[in-house]
Amino acid sequence: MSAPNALLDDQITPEEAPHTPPWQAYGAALLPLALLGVLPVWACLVLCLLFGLGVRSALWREGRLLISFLIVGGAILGHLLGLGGLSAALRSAVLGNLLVLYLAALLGAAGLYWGAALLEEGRRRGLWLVLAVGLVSPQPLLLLALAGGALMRPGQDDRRPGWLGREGAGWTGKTAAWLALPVALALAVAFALPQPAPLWNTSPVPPAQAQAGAEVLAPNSSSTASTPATPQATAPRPRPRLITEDVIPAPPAELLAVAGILVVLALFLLLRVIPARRGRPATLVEWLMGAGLVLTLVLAVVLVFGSSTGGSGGGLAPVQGAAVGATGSEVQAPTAEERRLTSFLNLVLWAALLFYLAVFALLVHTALSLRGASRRDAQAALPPEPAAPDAAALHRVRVAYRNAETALEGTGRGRATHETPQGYAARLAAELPTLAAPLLLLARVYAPVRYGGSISTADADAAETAEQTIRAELLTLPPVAPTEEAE
Amino acid sequence: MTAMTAASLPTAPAFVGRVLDNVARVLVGKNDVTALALAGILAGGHILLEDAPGTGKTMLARALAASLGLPFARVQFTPDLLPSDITGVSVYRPATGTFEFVPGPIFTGILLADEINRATPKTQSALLEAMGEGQVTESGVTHRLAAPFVVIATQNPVEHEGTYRLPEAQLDRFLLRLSVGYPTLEEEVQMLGRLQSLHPIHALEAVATPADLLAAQSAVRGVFVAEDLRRYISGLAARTRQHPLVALGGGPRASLGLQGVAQALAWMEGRTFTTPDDVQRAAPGVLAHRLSLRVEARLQGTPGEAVVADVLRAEPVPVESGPVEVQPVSKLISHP
Repeated sequence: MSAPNALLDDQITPEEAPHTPPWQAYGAALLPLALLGVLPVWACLVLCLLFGLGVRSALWREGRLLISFLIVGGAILGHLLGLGGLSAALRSAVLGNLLVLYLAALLGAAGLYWGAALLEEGRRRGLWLVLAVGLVSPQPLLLLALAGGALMRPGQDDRRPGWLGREGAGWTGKTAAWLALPVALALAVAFALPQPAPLWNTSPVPPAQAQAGAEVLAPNSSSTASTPATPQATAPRPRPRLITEDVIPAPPAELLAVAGILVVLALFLLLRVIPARRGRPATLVEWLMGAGLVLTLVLAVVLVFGSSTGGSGGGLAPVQGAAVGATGSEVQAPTAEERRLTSFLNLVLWAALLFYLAVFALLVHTALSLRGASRRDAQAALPPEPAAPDAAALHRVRVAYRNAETALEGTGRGRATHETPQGYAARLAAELPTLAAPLLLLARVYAPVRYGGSISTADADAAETAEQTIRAELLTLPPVAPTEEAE
Repeated sequence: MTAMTAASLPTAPAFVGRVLDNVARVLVGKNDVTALALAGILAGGHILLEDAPGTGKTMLARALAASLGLPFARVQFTPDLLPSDITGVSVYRPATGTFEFVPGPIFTGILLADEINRATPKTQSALLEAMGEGQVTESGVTHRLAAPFVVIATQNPVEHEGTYRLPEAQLDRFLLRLSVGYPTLEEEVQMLGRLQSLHPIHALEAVATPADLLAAQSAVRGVFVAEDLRRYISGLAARTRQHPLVALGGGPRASLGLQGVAQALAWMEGRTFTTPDDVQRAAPGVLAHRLSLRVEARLQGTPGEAVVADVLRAEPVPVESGPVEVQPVSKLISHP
């Protein structure tokens, strides 16, 4: 299964280039229909398009997960924007429901991504994942999604799939039985089990306020938005209560929000660094993937924060002291099960907080590492800055070297035109051991002067001293005939 | 493993020292040729090791690969070797109805092309694109090779039966041609002692990482080359083209290679600038194998190295340009 890790790829490899898959592979485009009970129609259709694009291009295939999150987030976002007119308590209750719905949709999208990847690898178990996603809110089009999954899965012997009546070794009666089982199960669950309404249309609003909030809470189509809430949708359901005694305390909601904001900021930092590091701007798919990640985190923070701040600012259950029940009934003491559940949810919140902080640290570390590497690369690629030349020192060394060479030439020990200063000094040092030290020192200091290095005033002083030593010593040596080398 | 990080690149001699010491555990007394081979790798080039059998060519390649921590692949070149055996081949996948490229051994860090002259010119030429452009084209699709990518090829110059001389274009792709040479008596005695039981190549650990090597290559490219040193390099290449014993001299790629290896040698010594000594040290390895000698030179048995030595003797080294005021010796004596 390929992972969505194309953000750092240097370029689109030939494997990622669009190719022409068999038409059966486009069955993947039907898989998102399994989410129709959870998501609005438009979101499902966009998901279908996304999964279809993934069949044609590996880049889109890698982007399926995060772009699905973007689409799911977009569906949820529409509802969040319409909650302005609700009271604080009602809003927090709706947000709590939206959080559950959002988590279900995210898990469903992830399940479809995983299932599609398994099916594209030819693994039949991907169908089970699609089925599991569809069972979150069963509806008839789940069958179409399963059929699409069956169609897209290549046969086991790597021949074209024998679906739709074609013969194929991988599609025997046993295979058909395996396919029939989930289909039958889906049918049974979709039609036999009582499903009052798709989860998407479920309203958490009490009857008294359901009318006011109906337009806000029925988002998946214009028809449902203008229709009064159904009896099932407006049926009274117990309101969540704030339980603070004998439970694990929840983390402060503000801390969660700050952690989420930090993660978002770190993501933006990373998105700025990656294109600079890679040397090319991000592609559309990568931007969409980044947006999906950011939106997911933002929504998670908003929903968790919003659903937990309806009361005094602590705990997932929003209504302060459970002063009023959903139907105005008397407050009841929380049961042991409620306490356990509350403790568990608070633990989840603590885990989420730790997760945010870990993600934040990881993202910042990655961004800083990439930025540091980019700077090091940029510095390494540049030619070294020529050291600020001390013109006087450079000139002194050149004069010293020229003087010494002229003096040596005058005694028949000149430098051959093909000899380097170092080679010349080494040859003379072998001939004249008494001059070895000043000769080698002079050549060593002269090399950076002549070929682009840097020297200090002390080096210049040393070069002049060496030159004087050489010239003084030469006076004691008899002249020789120029060697073949020097000629 | 004590891998060098990019941040610690200024300590180039330490990096070089670690690699040379590591290779020296396997190859006794061959520091010079090892250093030149390392310089070739640092300059981003490919190495051709040419010597008699049993002199340690393959061992040098293996030791360098192990020391630099690069993925290593070895291909024994034989007359029946096909280009696709090296570059890879497309395999039809009925499941997707597409061809899938199965990479060959060339997709590695260091490729040892052992006895390269035993393969046919067609197979030898399969390396051309990879060596020159760092990519492989198969069925019209181009696949990039991961960097760093180095080809170290070996060939035996004494055997001619069943061998195919490397084409000039192929030779030109090798930045350096080096000869390992026989060890001295003392070195051979030392080697016998070391290799008496287990061969140390099996215990050789990486002392650098591919990332280190990439960073080092990047730093090498930043080593300063003075203008008249560039003229000196170009002059050397031009003289190879004018030499009476040479039919085809070094081209611009030779000049580029000479500059690159000289930069690498300077960097390995911890310098930020190149000197004529670096150029002269690099010249035989870079130029000799690129020269196509005339028939008379071949009949005389004149090797390319001799022509390069001739060229080095003829080209003046840039030492001092412009007038510099020179004091007479007598003046110096009066003011000691």
